[in-house]
Amino acid sequence: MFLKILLKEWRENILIFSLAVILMLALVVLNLTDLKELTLNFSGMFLIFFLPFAALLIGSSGFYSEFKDNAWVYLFSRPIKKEVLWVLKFISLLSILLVIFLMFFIARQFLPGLNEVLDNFAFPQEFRGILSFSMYFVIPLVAFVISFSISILYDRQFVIFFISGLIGTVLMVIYQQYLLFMERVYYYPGSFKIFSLFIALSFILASLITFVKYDFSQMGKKILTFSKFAVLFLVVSLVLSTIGIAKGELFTGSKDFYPFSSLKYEGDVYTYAYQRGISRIIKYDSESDRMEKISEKSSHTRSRFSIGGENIIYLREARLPKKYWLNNIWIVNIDGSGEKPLVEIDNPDSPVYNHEILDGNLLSSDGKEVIFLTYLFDKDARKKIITVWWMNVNGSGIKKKKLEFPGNYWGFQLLAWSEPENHLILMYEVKSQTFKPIAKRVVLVNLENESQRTLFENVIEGIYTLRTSPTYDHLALASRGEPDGKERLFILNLKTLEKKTVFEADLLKLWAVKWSQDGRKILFSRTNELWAYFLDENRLQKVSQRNYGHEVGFDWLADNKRFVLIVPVDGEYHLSVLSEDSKEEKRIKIPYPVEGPVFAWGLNNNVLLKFRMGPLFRLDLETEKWKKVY
Amino acid sequence: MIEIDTSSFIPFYEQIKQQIKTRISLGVVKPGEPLPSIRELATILIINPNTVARAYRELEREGFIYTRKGKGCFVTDDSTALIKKERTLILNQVFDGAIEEAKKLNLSSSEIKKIFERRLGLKTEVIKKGERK
Amino acid sequence: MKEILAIKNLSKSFGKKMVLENFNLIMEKGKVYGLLGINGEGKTTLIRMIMGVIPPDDGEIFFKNKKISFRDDSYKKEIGFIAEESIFYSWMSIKELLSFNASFYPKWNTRKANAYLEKFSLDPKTRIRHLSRGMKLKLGLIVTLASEPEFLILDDPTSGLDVPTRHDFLKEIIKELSEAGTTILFSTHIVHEIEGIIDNLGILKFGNLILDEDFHELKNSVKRVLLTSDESLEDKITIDGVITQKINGTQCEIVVYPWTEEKKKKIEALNLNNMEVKPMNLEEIFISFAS
Repeated sequence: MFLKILLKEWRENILIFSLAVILMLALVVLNLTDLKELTLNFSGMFLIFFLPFAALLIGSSGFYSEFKDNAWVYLFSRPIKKEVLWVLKFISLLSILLVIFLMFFIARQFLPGLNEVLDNFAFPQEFRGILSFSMYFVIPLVAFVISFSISILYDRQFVIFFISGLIGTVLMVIYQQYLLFMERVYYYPGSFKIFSLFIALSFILASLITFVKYDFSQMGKKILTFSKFAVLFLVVSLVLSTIGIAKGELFTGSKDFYPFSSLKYEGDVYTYAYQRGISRIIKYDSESDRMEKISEKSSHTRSRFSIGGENIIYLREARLPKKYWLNNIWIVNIDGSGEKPLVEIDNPDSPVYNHEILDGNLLSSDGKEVIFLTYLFDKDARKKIITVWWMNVNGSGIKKKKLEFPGNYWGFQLLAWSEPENHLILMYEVKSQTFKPIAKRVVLVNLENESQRTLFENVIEGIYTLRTSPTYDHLALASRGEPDGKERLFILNLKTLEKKTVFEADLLKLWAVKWSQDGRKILFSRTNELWAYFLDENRLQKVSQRNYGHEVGFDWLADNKRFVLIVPVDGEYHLSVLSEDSKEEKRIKIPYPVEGPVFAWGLNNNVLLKFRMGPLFRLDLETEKWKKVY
Repeated sequence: MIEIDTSSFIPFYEQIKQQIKTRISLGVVKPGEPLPSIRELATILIINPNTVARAYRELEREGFIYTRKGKGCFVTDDSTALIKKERTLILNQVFDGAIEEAKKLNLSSSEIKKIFERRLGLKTEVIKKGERK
Repeated sequence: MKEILAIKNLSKSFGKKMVLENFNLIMEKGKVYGLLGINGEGKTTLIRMIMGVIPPDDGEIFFKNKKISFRDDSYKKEIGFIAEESIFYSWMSIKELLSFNASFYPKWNTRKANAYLEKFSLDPKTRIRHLSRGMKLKLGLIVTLASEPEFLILDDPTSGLDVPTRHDFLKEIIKELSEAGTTILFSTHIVHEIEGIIDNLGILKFGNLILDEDFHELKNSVKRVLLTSDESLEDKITIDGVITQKINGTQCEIVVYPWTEEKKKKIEALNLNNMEVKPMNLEEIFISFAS
């Protein structure tokens, strides 16, 4: 029975299929001739729009032949269940569409350069989140589902064709509005695939219900019922997906987070997790051996956070209407309580009213004072005014200092603050009039007399390279030096402002720098190499060659003597525990797939490892037991 | 050829019976010869086979035909005699009726006889004329 | 005597129009049931509901004592159905249609189908859109009979066809009937055609059966009665079941159903000059009921 129906549907749609074949072949042939250049772009446009077009055409032909010859009377009087009929027809027509997809992908292979054209095709900004895969597959599939679903309602194929196209467009517009809404409220870009799935399911269900309930002679009733159910299901889907996104758990994508900011503090590891529209500061508590949520909000920025004393400060979007770019500093206790904004940027009486707060706020080590920067642009003078603020965390004692910079200075960041000496380490980037980067500079600003001294001219930034020691007395950074153009890794003493060259090379290829807890040693990784530097002895030591994960997969243990490192052995990965002098004490096999960078944090006798795609594991070095903590 | 007159008020099965009896009495189909099968007859006449079946059943009950399983229906040997008997009964009834009518007109027996002979003569002539033609 | 089809209180309306109202019908296995309809809609609607093509508004249908609903499908394996209009895919060839159709019926008899094709001289490669009405009917016959159904529904199959075609069609039906003892529901408005075939007759009017009788009894129970009297017969006819009535002062012609001894006596009791009770043929009966 299914075979016969399949053959019948293919036979009825042989024209559109042949058309597709001919067009694809024509494209391929044209592209292999001298007309290649001319046809390449056209091919791209064609292929992008042909698939949805074909999908609509095939879908709208759904029940047309049954209407046309009154054959529905014939079919309905056969011993076959209506829902089975619907489904078999659906699958049969879908198979035609899928074969066209297949031809499309094969054609792509024969058309060099086409991939670029296709991938560069950009949907309007409002529809971001629609990647090429979605576009080629999902949009035509949804178009097919919509047109097939409504083909049960009316006997004119081209009417169905146009109406389903119309519905599809309207839904896209709704999706756009939905996106904007979700972004405003939940800072979530939306999942086009999920949305499409819901649309498809809504239409399929509405169509099935209507089909099974009515015959083909009661058009009005059918249209009414179908519309009722379709709208109902769509609304339900919208509500469900909104709730799901809000909860962040409905769609089990990866619990991915990028430890853009992470700090070890008092034996715990604090890190920033962003997951499906929810931003969290999470902490691994060594005592309880668990992850705890410190802060969970829908509108963090991916900012650094700073810990001092009992407090954590971080930056959040202020969500002001019409001033969406403004952020605010928030403070939260390390146990998660007392979360509130530090200043009022919406209150005209507040000194920071309407100021744009920049990233890189710092807490004093006792957590009582905070320092931050705000930005203002003087249009007339074409100058950038950076105001340095410092205040107590309870809001009192606000002091400020204005610094002026030329208009072509960008990306101001606060790196370090020497409290007693009252000077700042600031970084900014100098660009040309055409926004070409000229230099990345680290300067010392004396807050008393506002004098500035350039400490480093061409800073090289990597993922984990500008690191202040946990003892707040040193800063590790890399820069390209003049006059010799060599790249060097320095350690800057924040008190004496003494620079010590740790390593130099033509190309540093620096990946990450990790301080020991006592602030007296660093490990740093270069491509394929791992090195250690001991401040007290001013001694450099190479650890090993060709290790995996050395980008970030290494760290000191809390005893300031040992460190861990991920090593590949015979195609498998192990965590290696090494002593200060690089002697391997232990090697533990990692039983999980290691793909991509793995982040490591060393604690007392534990190591936290974060794998790609999210999961965070705690490995006990003594018992060699693993536990998934996040 | 057996024919059904659908506009007649005589039931079809009755019509079939009568026509079969006529054929038997005329010798068109003789004792021991088969009748057309129910299916054949129904198809030719375009009537419900049940109707034919009923006619055959009644004919069998009345003794004019018999069924041999798998072979069909056949005319019985004494069917001719039976028909004759039946027809004679009908004839008697008709004569009785005619006599009653005559009595109503106050005719004597000899007058009745005369009328009968005259009518018979006329009728025979008509028949003869028909034969000559 | 098994009931093969029982319809109880079936109702269906399209918009404001009530096409069938509390319709009841029982059909016995092996019998031929003729259904005459005053207007076309009721018959086709009824048949479509039996075939599960359209859903009833109310009421129940039982096939072989099992209740069937709009959602059921397996009972259709045992019913053959010839529609009034063409319902086949016009682009298919005869061969393609038969092959397509066969896939639905486990009992499909290919040999029988092929035998019919030859008998009717139909070229299997012909597309259905190129078939004449008569050929389409023959095709319909093949499609239905090759699945060897227990129950056959014919919805006005022969209207618009010439006499020879109709004859051939009916012959095939009779053949099938005598070979397989199929139960048949034959709906038509060509009255005389079904006269010889049917066991029972139903007349559908105003959404219901106004007549439902054994056909052979019909001639006994429907009578035309002619009355003449010296006095006026207006308002004198007080019996039930007077289907039509024509009174012209002292003359009166009525059609009575059902005709009983009681009614006869009642009429005789009137002061009449003459009373004639005449049987009616199917055509006359239908016309009386139809008006």
